[in-house]
Amino acid sequence: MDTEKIAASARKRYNHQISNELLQEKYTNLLTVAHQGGMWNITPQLLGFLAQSPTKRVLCDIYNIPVEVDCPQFLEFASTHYDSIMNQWHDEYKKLSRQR
Amino acid sequence: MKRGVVLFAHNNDTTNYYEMAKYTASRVNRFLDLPVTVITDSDSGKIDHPFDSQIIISPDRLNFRKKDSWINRGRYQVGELSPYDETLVLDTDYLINGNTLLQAWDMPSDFVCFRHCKYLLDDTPAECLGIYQLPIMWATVFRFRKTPRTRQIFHMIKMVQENYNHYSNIYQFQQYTYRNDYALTIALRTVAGQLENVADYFPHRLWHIPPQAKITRIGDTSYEVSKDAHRIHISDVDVHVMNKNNYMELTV
Repeated sequence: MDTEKIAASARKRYNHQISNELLQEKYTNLLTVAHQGGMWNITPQLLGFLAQSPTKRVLCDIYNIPVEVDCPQFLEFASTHYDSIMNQWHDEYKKLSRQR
Repeated sequence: MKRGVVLFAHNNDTTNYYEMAKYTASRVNRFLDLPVTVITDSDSGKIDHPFDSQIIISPDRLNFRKKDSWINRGRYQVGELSPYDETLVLDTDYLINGNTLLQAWDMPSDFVCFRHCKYLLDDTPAECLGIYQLPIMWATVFRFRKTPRTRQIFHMIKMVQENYNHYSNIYQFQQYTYRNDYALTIALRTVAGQLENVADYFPHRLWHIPPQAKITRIGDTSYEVSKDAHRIHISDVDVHVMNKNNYMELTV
């Protein structure tokens, strides 16, 4: 067995894994936004909750500070932002996968 | 509400922080669209400068790191010297590649800094302060508004600087080199009654390029980071380049 080849493959896998982790962190950070006086992680769960809320509600932001938000307004902003970031993430992930 | 960026640039025998500041300022102008003020000294500063404003001070030169002069004392003065209502203070080796930092203006706290960090291609665990292993608050990037609380924070940083031996004895860390990160950590905790206020922290991690790694430009905001046999690519993210010579290579 060619140990040099194994070592080289292992390094490539390591580099790819690290790159993927950094990509995940980069885009997760971009999904953290400020809106209506609070800081939020835009997640599918948050979007689903907002979609069910027709008026204003008090939500705890990422710092556990209760913030009254206009849910329809927040939903419009959050879903647009989420789609934009996730599309960028998807595109960059595909590029990274091709490099491997 | 006037907003802007402040950089400190005091050259020593080995590093031209003023040139680094010029490059950092150009990226701030470009990606954050913010004015930049440089706080420097008469030896480092230039009459004909590219900054929005330049403040000349007489720095405290009595700090050393690995036998080199490290002129990093006096940062507490930014609370008074900054010409802005809201100020983002950056290290001159903080490489900006996007507008993520603009998020700082919308954060509710009057003082925000990084608490968590990551060393790329390095498994170095997060640094802790002294015998009590307090998590370090990073002075690399912080944003403040001029409020009574932030005045207390800067006053506390000044107190730590002026009594560094005393605080190094209390917290049991090495006292040879003054570090702004240590002073900021102690000041924030003291002002908060030895508690942590999570709203004072950026929600994401500060990315460091460690001194043993090398960052090479591939595109305008894309880089290869390499260390030993490992190579990764990063793009459109801000990073703190700890190797000053490496940072100077990027400015070319």
